Amino acid sequence: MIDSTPSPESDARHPVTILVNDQPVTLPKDHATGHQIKAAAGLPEDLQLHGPGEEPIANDERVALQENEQFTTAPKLVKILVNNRAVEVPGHEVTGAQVKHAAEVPSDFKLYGPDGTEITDGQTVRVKHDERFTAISGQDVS
Amino acid sequence: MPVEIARAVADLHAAFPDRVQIHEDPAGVIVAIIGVTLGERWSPRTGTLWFLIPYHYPDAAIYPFYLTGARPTGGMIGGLQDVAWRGESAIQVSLRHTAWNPKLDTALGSALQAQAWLAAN
Repeated sequence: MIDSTPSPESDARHPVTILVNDQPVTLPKDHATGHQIKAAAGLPEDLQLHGPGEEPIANDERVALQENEQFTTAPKLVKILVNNRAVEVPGHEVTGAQVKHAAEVPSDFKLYGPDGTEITDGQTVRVKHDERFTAISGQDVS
Repeated sequence: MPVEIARAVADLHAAFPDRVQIHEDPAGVIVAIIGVTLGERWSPRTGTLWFLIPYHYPDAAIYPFYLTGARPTGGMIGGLQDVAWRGESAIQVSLRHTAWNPKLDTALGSALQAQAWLAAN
């Protein structure tokens, strides 16, 4: 439950145990930021945190906590361009197959990175926002 | 210039900065990509890759390609043949898309794939 409005209860200091990716995590107060929740769970800051209602929680966003509430994390979506079309891939490190899947191009298409080199399906590449990729159907010698 | 061809030309300029020359043609737009890296069989190891973006692009695919400024040292292999291209001796590179999809495929992708083939052959 997101609560961005400070209230007298905001500084309540009783510990609260929530579940992050099904693992119990105890926080010292009944409010915490996305950053604090991920840190308490030992998770990297670049993951996207989601609250009990699947709502995204930003790192600096303060939320109220209740016992046994379920939180989850997922890789942050990164927007890239494939054949000039914006698509989102799950995180900064993705495989060629994931890029093609996100772009909804056939799996037998060839994929080329921003520098023009081919990326195979099983190859993992690091992607940045707005980087351009090219997918193309196969050519045969005729 | 039709908007789809203009977009293809912009893609090519972005992918090959300062290496793309464009020549308007009644059949579409002729593209020259300078300084394409070639495989070991070629001498020298760089050449200029030419192709036509046809007027009906993207409904019409990119085919064929032409290479100038280099020759294969060990003779021709499948897909290559000597031709005259715009009044100049060139090597035709017959790489054909077997399932060209106008909604997905692009001139840039086609050129990248031809470039990769030339670097590997």
